[in-house]
Amino acid sequence: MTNKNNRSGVFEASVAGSEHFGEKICRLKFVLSGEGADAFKLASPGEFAQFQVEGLALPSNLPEGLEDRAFRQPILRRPFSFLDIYPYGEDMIVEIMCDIIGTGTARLSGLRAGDKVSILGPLGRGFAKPEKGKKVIGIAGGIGIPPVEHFLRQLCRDNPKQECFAFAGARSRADMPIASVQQGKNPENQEYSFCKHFAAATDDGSFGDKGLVTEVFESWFAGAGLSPADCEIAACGPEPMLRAIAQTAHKLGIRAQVSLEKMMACGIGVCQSCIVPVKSQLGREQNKLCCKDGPVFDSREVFAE
Amino acid sequence: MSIVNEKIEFAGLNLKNPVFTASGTCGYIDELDDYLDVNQLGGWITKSITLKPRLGNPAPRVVETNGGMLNAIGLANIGLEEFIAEKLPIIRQKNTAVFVNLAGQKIDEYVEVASRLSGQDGISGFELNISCPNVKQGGISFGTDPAQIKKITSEVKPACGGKPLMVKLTPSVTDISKTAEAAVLGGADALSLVNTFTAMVIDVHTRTPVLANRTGGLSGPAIKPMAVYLVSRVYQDVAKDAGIPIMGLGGIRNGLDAAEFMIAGASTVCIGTATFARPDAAVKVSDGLRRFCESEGIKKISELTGSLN
Repeated sequence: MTNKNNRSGVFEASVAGSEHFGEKICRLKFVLSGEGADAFKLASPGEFAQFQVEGLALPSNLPEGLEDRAFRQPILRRPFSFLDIYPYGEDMIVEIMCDIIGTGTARLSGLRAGDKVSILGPLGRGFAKPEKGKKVIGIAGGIGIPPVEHFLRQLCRDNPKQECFAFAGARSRADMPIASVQQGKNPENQEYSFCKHFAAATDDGSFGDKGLVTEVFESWFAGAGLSPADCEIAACGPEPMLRAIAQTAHKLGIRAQVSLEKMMACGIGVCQSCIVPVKSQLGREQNKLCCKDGPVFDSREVFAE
Repeated sequence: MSIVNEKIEFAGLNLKNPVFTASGTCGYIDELDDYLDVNQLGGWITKSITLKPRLGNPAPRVVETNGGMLNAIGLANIGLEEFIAEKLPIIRQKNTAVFVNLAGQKIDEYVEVASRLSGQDGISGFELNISCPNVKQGGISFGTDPAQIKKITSEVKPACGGKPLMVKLTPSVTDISKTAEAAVLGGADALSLVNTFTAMVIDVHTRTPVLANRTGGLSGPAIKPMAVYLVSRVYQDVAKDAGIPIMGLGGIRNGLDAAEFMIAGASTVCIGTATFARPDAAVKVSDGLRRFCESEGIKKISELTGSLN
């Protein structure tokens, strides 16, 4: 994956804005200045940052069903891949999408413009740029959607000739972290207008096709007339989804990179908690770390052929 | 320039200050190079080193709790040979004390690792890990039996080449004074306490333990008051009269926490879980401890040790 040579550190960021979509999803925008801006200028899609949640207050209006889970004192940071990173004058803006599921995300969801947050990052290795001329197919599920969207958008920003296709899946419309979907608009005309094709799937059929996003992708690819050798896949989402994508990619002969999510404490390689078991070229079992060696891996490395 | 004298004499070593990073929470130190200048610390302690490389336990290996976290890493490490070849050259470039944490399945393994490292430059001393709750053989199985503690300490000590041997005690015993006394009788030059508390987190939906290892070691601010008590207990019952220094650890996150451990009887302190949330936490603790001394009019930081009224 991308060679990481950017400096990372602990930086104070200001919240530039927050946007809530229903009870479950919020979009947060942070401003980094000075050394923080310099560090995040070098961040790339698929990398991540650790956001400090300790010390942040719980919002008074917790999502339904979260009360019992939310009243805990967190001590660890929470990792997030980026939805977007872009310059704002001398500063940098970092955006994330947050699925409000526990005490850490509930606290982040209560942030308002002007609040300060400690950010550790940028961390890890992100998506590798495609080989010249290759088309990129992004396939993502749930809260895995933001980093894939970031990757595709960045590729198209850097190279207007880049061809991209996007597939997004979630349990239901309310769980889909795409702003235009939450606002009842067509994402093809909004966030994904840079893509040649966008399709979605939900478990309950409340947005896009009913079913799995992997099935939507496979049936599209069968009729798209694309040569597997001309395509690359970039994926992020639940592990069973990534495994299915890896198997399809191996079968079709498409190179795929997958972004994994593991429980991690430090994010910088000292705690050794976020292991990804792999086999070395000599067939020896070894553990890579999701935080340092990933979170983006070549699918053949982490899912057997 | 601070007016506080931060220098500490600990197990025959002259340290810049009393703050260390704890084993298992600072890797082999190069991982922290971007975030922390280890030379600003009194010292640091390596991950546990075993004779052969260890993959450790399956994932999930960590889970957060209320004010703490559980880990069940299982002594994952690169093994002695790679440690010597790859890490020691980096470690030698640092200008601070380093203790190598020793682990093994049998006493012979501890002895072999210690003896092969004792002649190496760049190592200040050893910490005997007989208190890891996350491995079936070795680890805590040694650390709960006073007779075993005395035996392993007395057998490893001669392999240390005259370098200090610190014994890390588990809190998961009925009477920590007895295990501390056994380590002292076995020839320990220092004691470090406490290691993590054996604990469990259950997923109520699946009714299964969250950690693949089922149990793990609880650390973080949740354990601090218990750790302070145990340091005070061992200091009063064993260490003070024996003249054996204590390294205190368990949930320390700022200078006031560190001062509390020192007042309870610790000569040095160790920062563990706090490093996960803030990679330079140990330096912040050191700064905070200095500020505390300045505000209290304490001229020599070592005066804090055992100053409980």
